[in-house]
Amino acid sequence: MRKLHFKMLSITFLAMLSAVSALAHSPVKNSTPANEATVQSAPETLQVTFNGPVVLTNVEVHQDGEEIPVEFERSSNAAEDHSVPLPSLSEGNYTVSWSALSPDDGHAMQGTFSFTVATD
Amino acid sequence: MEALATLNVWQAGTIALKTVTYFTALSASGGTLFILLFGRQLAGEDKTPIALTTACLAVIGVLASLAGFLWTAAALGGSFSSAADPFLLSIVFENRDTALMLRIIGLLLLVGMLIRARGFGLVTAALGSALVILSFSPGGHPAALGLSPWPQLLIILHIAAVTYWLGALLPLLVLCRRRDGERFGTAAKRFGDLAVYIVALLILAGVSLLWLLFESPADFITSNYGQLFLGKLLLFASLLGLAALNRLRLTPALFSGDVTAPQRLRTSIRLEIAAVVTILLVTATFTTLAKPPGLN
Repeated sequence: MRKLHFKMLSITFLAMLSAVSALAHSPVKNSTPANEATVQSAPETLQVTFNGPVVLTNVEVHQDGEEIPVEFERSSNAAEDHSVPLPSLSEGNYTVSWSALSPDDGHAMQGTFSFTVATD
Repeated sequence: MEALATLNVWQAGTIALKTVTYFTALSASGGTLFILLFGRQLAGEDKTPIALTTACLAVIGVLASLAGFLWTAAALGGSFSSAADPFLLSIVFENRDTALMLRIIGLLLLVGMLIRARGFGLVTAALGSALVILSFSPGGHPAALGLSPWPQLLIILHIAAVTYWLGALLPLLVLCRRRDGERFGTAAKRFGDLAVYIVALLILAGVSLLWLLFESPADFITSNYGQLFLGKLLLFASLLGLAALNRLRLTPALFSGDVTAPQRLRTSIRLEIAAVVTILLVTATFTTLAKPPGLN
């Protein structure tokens, strides 16, 4: 009986965990460059708009796995729109990772999006 | 299993620490309530291990709460070294100061039971228990609804009921070892008699919270958050089934002198604890990864 019950609990939990993958609710409303976009000219700034005010605490940009230094200035002020200046970007695939705190419910959030610079 | 792959290390750590904090803080707070309410049915040799277990859980709860605080700072900075970043620590503290302080002070007061498990020690522990329950009201999704004070009041009632139930499980497990089945049966029966009303309160507060968190009844079925909540309710239903089995079959069997009853009751209580841990794990998972429709 005990084994059966543990199995049932495990199955229920795993089934719910699978449903979590469908949640995939992104707190990011939109970004420039947009997720998975291909841009013809290298962007000078990164614009990210969230669904509600957040304190943006960390932004990292990677080009094909290599970290690109960005001048991200931290602020404890919560806002929906955030702008991060970018260095001169060459052609390639870029991944942006961010972390933020929602002052409404106190939850820490993380996310990533990617874009490609193709000047041809 | 796809979800496991999409979880990042920060989210997984947050879920694990939340689960440990919920379990230890609520068990410690509830263990105190159990001693306060049913102490007269307990022999001295039973009170000591229950008080010790409660104090140990309180200490683990303090450590888990502090670890959760540091882990959040690390998650916000994207590196383990960020757990020592004063800027990030101040941001997290500003956001969670009330809940964190209430919980840590409350749990430390519970440890007072180790020093003196009667008289003033119990008064201190009762205050600690209340502070731990109150620590769950600030912050989180219900507080974000902006309908103060109703969501907070409902959370306090809901958590108080969970505390009563969860807090009794480990002491009952300790008591199962006693040879005097009838005295244990008396404590279990008195717990069960009151539990009927507590469970009604738990359900009432839970349903009222759902009503506030969901914009319409349809959201409860159609939204992912609602479906996960349904999963939690299924687990809760299995927990109710075990509790009913204890109350209606196993506790009367103890009184009738059934020699197999203590072992069956012990197994049933262990299963209840496993079900509660799973419910807390599920709660920690979806409160970390999702928002209710009312907040989207």
